[in-house]
Amino acid sequence: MQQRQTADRLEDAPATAATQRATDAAADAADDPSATPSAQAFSFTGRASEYFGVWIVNVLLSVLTLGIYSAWAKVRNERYFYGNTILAGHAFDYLASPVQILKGRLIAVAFLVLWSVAVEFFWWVDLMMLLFVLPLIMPWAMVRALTFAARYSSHRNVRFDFNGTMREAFVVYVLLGFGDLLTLGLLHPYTAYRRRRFHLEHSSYGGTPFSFSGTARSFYHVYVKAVILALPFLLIAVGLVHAAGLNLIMLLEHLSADELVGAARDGGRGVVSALLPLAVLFLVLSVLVPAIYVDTRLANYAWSETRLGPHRFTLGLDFGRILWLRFSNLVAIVMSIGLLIPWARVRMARYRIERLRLAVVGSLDGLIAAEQQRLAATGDELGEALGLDIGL
Amino acid sequence: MTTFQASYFDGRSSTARAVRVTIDDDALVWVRGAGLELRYALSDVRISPRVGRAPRSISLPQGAKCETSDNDAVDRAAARHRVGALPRLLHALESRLPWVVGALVATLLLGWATIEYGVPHLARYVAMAVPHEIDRQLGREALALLDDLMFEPSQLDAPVRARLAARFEELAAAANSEGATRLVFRASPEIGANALALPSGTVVMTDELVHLAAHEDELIAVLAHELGHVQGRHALRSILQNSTTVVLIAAATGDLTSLGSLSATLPTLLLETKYSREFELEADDYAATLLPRVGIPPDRLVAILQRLEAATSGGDDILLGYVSTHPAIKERVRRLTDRAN
Repeated sequence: MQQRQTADRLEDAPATAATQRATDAAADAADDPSATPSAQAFSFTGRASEYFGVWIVNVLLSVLTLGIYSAWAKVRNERYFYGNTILAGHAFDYLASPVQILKGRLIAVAFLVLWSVAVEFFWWVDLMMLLFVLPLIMPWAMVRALTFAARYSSHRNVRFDFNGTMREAFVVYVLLGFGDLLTLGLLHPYTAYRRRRFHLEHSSYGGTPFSFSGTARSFYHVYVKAVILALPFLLIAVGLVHAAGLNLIMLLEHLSADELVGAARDGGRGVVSALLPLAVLFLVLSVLVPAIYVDTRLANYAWSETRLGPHRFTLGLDFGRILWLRFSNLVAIVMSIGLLIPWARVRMARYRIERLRLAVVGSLDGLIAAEQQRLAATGDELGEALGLDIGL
Repeated sequence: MTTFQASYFDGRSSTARAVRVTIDDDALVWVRGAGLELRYALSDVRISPRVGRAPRSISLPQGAKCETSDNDAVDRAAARHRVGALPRLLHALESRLPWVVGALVATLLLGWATIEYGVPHLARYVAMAVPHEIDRQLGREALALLDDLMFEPSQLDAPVRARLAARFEELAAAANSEGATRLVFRASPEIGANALALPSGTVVMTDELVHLAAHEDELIAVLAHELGHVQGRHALRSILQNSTTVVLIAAATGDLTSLGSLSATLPTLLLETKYSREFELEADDYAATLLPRVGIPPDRLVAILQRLEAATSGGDDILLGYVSTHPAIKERVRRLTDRAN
């Protein structure tokens, strides 16, 4: 069997990387007659009925223990989804310990409590937080969270890894974040691109790095199309508001659920009132639908430009289907007062996971684990890490 | 002795090897196959807790691992050697139907009890501790907003307003209400006949309500009801209850991301109107106690409520009653009449 040391990072321009890959592939082909990429589909074996049991016990015990159990709940939850995601016959594994997660959460809570108390005594705390503390803490927290998530995930007992630097995290999350604000969002596609790239280019599976060949321009294309998609909804919303005799500014200023329900119910004003909640609905859709569009298209694009060594991913999510899934899930959740959340999650996970493919060149055997993993016999050297998990 | 199929991963590379794992009666773990012949003590090995049918990991020393889908076999071996009792119990809780149903019922009961009793109590406790300055601030801002959106200056004659204001002072004195109270008037074709109690102790009465009443005492009865809202600090409690509910629902279902989305708002919207209903009834009770002290029979309140109901277009639709921001007037009338008898 061919053992390939793909420890060299593909940092160069796409052209060079392509040449490198071509050489690798050619070498593979020379050694192994079946080197044509075989498309391995991911599969999800989770079932709503089974997951419901896990979920409801998580909720009950978390409530009974006033939230302490939530760390265990998180681990069980992740292990359920990881363990039911199968690639080429083997599942993924989530290795974090609940105690780490609990520590991380308690620290986050303590921090928030301290902040709210400090604000009562010192008026300048909020300003300090915004200008100094948060811009410094955020890159640190992001890097720690990404590293934690990576190192405590494994497939075939080889852990993933993330080695992004805090300096680059600062640029990508803080500087570009401010840039977004200053340019009123025009920079955002670029920011999204840079963040994706930051995440992928510093990730690796054992000693095999991921690489990302996407371009900022493609991100812009998706966002522009999303804005165009928003227009019909906006026009309808504005039209409805005008028909109701108000103007959009008033509507936005005084938006509240009470007033919507009140407006809808006020029989005396009839048609005019019914238009207002409809207008709000279209306003909401004008944000939600493009957001889902961006999420779907970018996911497809980004995954399809991602490689693990020579192996290439493709993701084929259908926007229409995702839209349907999201809305039907929402309706189901609301109608069932939340009891159908497990069903909705399994349903969405199954669709998203089963549309992911990996074109494997040769085989997935023989990918070497990272140095730390090989050296740290029990893997507990990483155990000092705080279980910081921000919902990424 | 238990045997099952597994995949062995040495932790150095991703290569999978098909093996047979045996856990024998001497608490020894054997891993055999694909050129491997390994032996470990059960105490040196870590079996992962079971989650549904997800593959089980048996972590071996030196970073190696066996993964198997045969969860039942692993459980049998673990039970035999009295290892991992707690994880097994947890899995039983999550997978056996009676326990799942039990957990569901317990969760729903807990959730209902918290929202029905826990949150209002907490909100009341907190609201009573909040300084009056907050109330005054809320009141000022609310009035400014309403003046902006739907109030116009009152068209009532000055003597009428002065008289009503004076009677309101009398009422407030009889109530021993803490904090300053005052009565202001506005015209509002959009709201119609109504009186609103602001947290600051200011009560707004619309011209339309003054015109609707057949007797001045009916207006005082309404003011007594509004004073009930002020005394009970209902506005603040309402805000507290609603935000707590949203946070609780989000925290319990683990869906923090949905805090802003519709699935979190709609249930709380329903609950929110229920809270309002309870506050209305509480204010009615307050008025029923206060009015006799100034020599006004509570059926003045009944009369004006009936007039209000006749004036607005809605009938008594129970479903609509739940969704409305004011409880069905018929119910309030019934309660007040029962109380008087």
